[in-house]
This record gives sequence, C-alpha cells and structure tokens, in this order.
Amino acid sequence: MRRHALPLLALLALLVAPALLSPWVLSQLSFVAIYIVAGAGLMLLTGYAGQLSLCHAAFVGIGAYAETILQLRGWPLEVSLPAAALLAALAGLAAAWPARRLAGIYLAIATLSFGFIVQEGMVRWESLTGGNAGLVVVPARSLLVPALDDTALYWLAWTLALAALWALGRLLASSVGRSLVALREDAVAAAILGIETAHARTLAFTLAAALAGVAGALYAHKLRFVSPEQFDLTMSIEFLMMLTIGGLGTRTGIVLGAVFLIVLPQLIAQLRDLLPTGLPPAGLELFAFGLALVLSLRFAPAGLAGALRRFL
Amino acid sequence: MRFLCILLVCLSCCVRAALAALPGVTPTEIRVGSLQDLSGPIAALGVHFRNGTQMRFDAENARGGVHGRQLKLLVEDTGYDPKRAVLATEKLLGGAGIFAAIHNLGSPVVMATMPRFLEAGVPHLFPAAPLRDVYEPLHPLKFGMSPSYTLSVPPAARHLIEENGFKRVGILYQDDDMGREVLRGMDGLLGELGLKWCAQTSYKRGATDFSSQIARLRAADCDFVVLATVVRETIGAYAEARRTGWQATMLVTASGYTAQVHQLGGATMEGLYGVVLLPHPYAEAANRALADWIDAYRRQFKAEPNTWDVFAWVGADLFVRALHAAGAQPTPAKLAAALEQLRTPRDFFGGPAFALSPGDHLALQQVRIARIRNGRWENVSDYLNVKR
Repeated sequence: MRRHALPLLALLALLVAPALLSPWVLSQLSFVAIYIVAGAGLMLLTGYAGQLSLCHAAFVGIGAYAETILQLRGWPLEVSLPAAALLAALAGLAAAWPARRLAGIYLAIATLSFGFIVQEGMVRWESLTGGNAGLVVVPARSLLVPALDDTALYWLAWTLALAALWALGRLLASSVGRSLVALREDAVAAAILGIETAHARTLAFTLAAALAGVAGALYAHKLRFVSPEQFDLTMSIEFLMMLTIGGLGTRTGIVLGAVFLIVLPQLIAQLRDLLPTGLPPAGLELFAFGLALVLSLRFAPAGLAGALRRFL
Repeated sequence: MRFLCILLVCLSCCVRAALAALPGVTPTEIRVGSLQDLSGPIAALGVHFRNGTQMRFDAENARGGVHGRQLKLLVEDTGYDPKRAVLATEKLLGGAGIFAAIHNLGSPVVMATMPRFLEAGVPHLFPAAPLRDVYEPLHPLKFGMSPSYTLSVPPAARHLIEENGFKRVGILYQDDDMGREVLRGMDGLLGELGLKWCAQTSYKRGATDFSSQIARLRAADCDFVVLATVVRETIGAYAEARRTGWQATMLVTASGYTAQVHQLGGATMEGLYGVVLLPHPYAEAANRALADWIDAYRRQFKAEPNTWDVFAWVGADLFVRALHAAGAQPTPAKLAAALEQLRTPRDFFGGPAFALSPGDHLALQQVRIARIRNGRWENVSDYLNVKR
C-alpha cells in the first residue's frame, strides 16, 4: 500500500494541478511530461538495452519538425502526431543500421555523427525546414479538441507520458524486453543464447526514436518555434544526464530525472529573487545544478530512484 | 460637502483599483521584464544589455521615476535556452505581472517567447535580435530596434563599392542564420548594381582557421570582401588576409563591430571597415555628456561599457520618454501610441535621430561606416538610410 501511495498522490496532484496552479508551474509540469516521453525512449535504448546514444535530440527534432510541417499543411493533430512518431522511428531505423555491429564508445561516435547529420539536414533543407531561421509552429489543428491551449497540452502531454511509462513496463515484462536487458548485461552471452543482437539493437533504436518523436511533437507545440540549434548535442547530453541522475534502468528514474532537470533551475531562479542583492544573480542555476549532479552521483549512484527506494 | 468627500474617496479607490488591475503597474512602481542570457553562450552580451537598461532606469528613478513611479527591471536568465525562456516568460507574466518586456536577447529566445508577451497584451520592445519578425508584420505592441542583417549591410556595402569602383565582390559568412541573412541582403544589392559574386566562402560556427577561405577569395581576385563574422572570426580572417600580404578592402557586419576586434586583434586590424548601428562609447575624445556617462557606468558596474550598453541605454531611454508621454495612467496602448509619436534628436553617443510611426515600428533605420584607425573604430561616413 505504501508503495502505491506516492504514485497515487502524484496522480491526484496532476489531476488537480490545472485548477490550482499558476501557468508558470503548469508549464513546468508540461515540460516534465514531455521530457518523460523522451526519457522513456532513451531509457529503453540506453538504460535497459545498454546502447549509449548521443543523438536522441535528433529524433526529438525530427518529431518536432515533422509535427510543425504537417500542421502547417493542415493535418490534424490526431494524424500528424502519429506521423511524427513514425518519421522519427524511421530515423531510428536509419541510425540503427550502422550501429548494429558497434558497441560502447564506437556506438556513441556513430550516434554522434548521426546527430550532426540530422542537424545539418535541418539547416540545409531550407525549402522544407526554413533553415537556420526555423519555423513558427501554428496553433494545433485537431479533430477532437477545439484549441490546443496550454491546459489542453498539459493533459495531452501527461496522458502520453503515463502511456509511455506503462508501455515501457509492459515491454520490459515481455520476452522482447528481456532480450534487450540481456543485450545490456552481456551481448556475447545473449548471442550465444540465440538472441539476435543486431535485431534487438535495431528494435531498441526504432522504439526509442518513436517515443522521442512524440516528445518532439509536443515540444514543438509547447515552444511554438523550432530551429535546428535547439536539437543539438547539448540536448542529447541533457537527456543522458536526466536519466543518470534519475536512475538508469528504472521507470521511476525517468520521472525523477525529468523533475530534477526542469524544476530545479526554476526553484533556484525563484529562490534567487529572495537572495540579498549583493550576490551575483547569474550562473547560480548552473552552479547549483552541477553541485546537485555531483552530489547525487557521489551519494546516490543508483540515482534519485535508488535513494527513494531506500527511503521508502 | 461631506457627500463630495465620500464620493472623491470612493472614486480614488476605484482608480487605484483600476491601476492595480493593470499588470506591472502599481501606484509606486512600473515593472519591466527582460529575458537575458547571463550564464550561457552569449552571456557577454546579456550582461551589457542588462547593465545599460538598469543604468537608464536607475537614472530616471533618481529623478523621481516616471510620474512618481519607480521603474523596476526584472531580469530573468534564459541561458540562451528557449525552453527556459518560455518558463521565464510565464514567470514574468504571472503574479504581479509586467507592464512591458524590453531587450529580450537571442533569436530563438525571442521567437519562442514574443507571441506569449503579445497575447498577454504586454508591449514587446526593442529585442536584441536582428530579426524582421520583431517589427514585421506590424503589430500594435511590437517594436524593433535593429534592422535585420538583410537590411543593414547593403547600404554600407553599396557606399564602399560605389565610392571605390569595386567590381569583384566576395563574401566570407558564418554558416548560420546571421550569415545567410547577410548573403541574402548582398545578393539583392549585387543584383541592383549589376554585379555577380566573385567568390563565396563560409565557415561553421566555432572555426578558428580561415586560411583556405582567404586563399580562395584571394585566388578569385576579389577587391572587396564582406565579412559576415563575429569577433574571433573577424580577427582570424582579416589577420590571415594581411598576414599573406593581401590588401583587399573588407567590411565586417555589425556583428563584428566591437572594440574587442581591435583590442584583441591589435595593429593587424588597421584598415578594417565595419557597419555601425550604434557607436562604441570611446572615452578618448568623448564629449562631456559621453564622458560623464562612461564615468557613471564605470562607477556603477566596475566595468567598461561597450556598444551593447549603448543599445540598451538608448532603447531604455526611448521607453522612458514614451512612458512620460503616455501620461500618469499608462496603458500598453498609450505607451505604443507615445512611441509612435516619439521624435528624438541625435544623442551624445553619436547615434542617429529616431522616428517611429504608426506604420513603422523599426526604430533604427540608418547605418554608418567606421574604419579601424590607430587602434579604434573611427566613423568614416554619415548615417546611410536602409532600404525598406
């Protein structure tokens, strides 16, 4: 009962949040949900399948651009969002092809290259993407919802976030999920046991990219503007950091990592307003973020999820 | 009489209540928001934009504020991250709110946040992003300071090309939005002049070696080169050209017009032309008002001012003037109307006169040319009109 109390409380809080909280806090929660969706994909690929990826931002970007372009062409959200996920999944398939036979640092370099290629494509394909100038995201067209305002986006983001977490759980409980974990634990042993490791890697990349694509589509609507520089290596590293701090290999880690990444800088910004004016205002967020990162890695190597498990 | 007093008290309460209902305005202060990068990749600009704005507000507050209200500047650090910028915008618009947003910094930050300010009825003033979107299409609450690179470079380039009879024009541009804007503007200019590109070269942001690009431009025998570069790249490219003995005339865009270019580049940078939007505040040979301003800046911030401080101070000054003209009960509409009617003379910085209008919300529509001589930028032309 105690185990379920916290998630139930959290769910209840999410349900009442739009009625009680300010747009600022609601926005943070929306970003947390978006990062949970993206994080679920990366957790599947890196946390469970053990494949280090430095191009997750590229998949998010493909989803964001796909959603933006399809919406500009009048596609409704009910069609454009799955299409964005599908296009991102195809990109994942493309990224997996050279990665089938690579592991460790070599896989990381291959994914890094893929990320650069995708970003360069966003810049060069000006007729489609607007190039460096980017694209303004039009108000979402939907068959079911009259207008995707910030509150509607909050509900959509959290529905998809919870669905992503649930789907991840179901996948991991299946034979496919166990194959991915076996790949992480020992790829050679997995191959000996008859697991098609190349196939498993491909599946992991494709599913991770699909989830990232969904996150990208939501991200585009939240920001209302997409440009190539947003989906760079920095964002990919942000996702990796999020999962490391949250706790690799756990679904709770995705949620805690997303909360940490999004909410902590805002808390610091709010606290800074209360500090004496003699203290320098700039860079406090970065300093505190870095300190929190070091402390959590030093004292909570299993991440915040591990620390929470010990506490409960 | 008693009834009249009661009526007056009730009326004054209603007025106070109405004032309190206007976001960012109270009987004692006007809150103005600003999104700056104070810790990210362009923090070097963000700090100066904050300083220049704060300095102008502090000067006005020392004189009693605007119609008795102190100006409070609320700066949020975005770190040049659009996601943080969106959250910072929500923070500024929540709670007591803000009356206006000024000098928001960075193109992706501005593009992600400007719609939110405008939807909330908050004037979006003079963002530090040379985008056409910040002044076009016309919007009642949207006012731009700098023309886009597409507009600002051609007048200066045309002046030099026509004055010197250049025929072989080349370009070295940063392969990003800024560089491509310059390329687009110069494409139009060359078309008007009946010229073709002699050579086009580019580099990726972060590049430090320009030997191949300069060699290519020189091999094509360009006699005039536009540098769509920032500080380090301007120094690198120009120094490379001079190191190899190539004396082609080079004009750097406003992105490279900073004191850092000659401070870091040294004597090698002599002769470089630059596009000037607003001048750098040199202490040497400064007029009395400028010298006093520089001293005040140094006292307040313990640092040297630069062009970005001037930008910020000038933009804040336009805002303060318009706020005075908007009257004791300011509203966003009254502020916008006051801005549109504003006429300012040339200032002590050496900047141009400003004249916004109901049909045109771009403040700066003139550029001039400067050249590095004796270790500093010296103006070599008067202000040239940009073509709209």
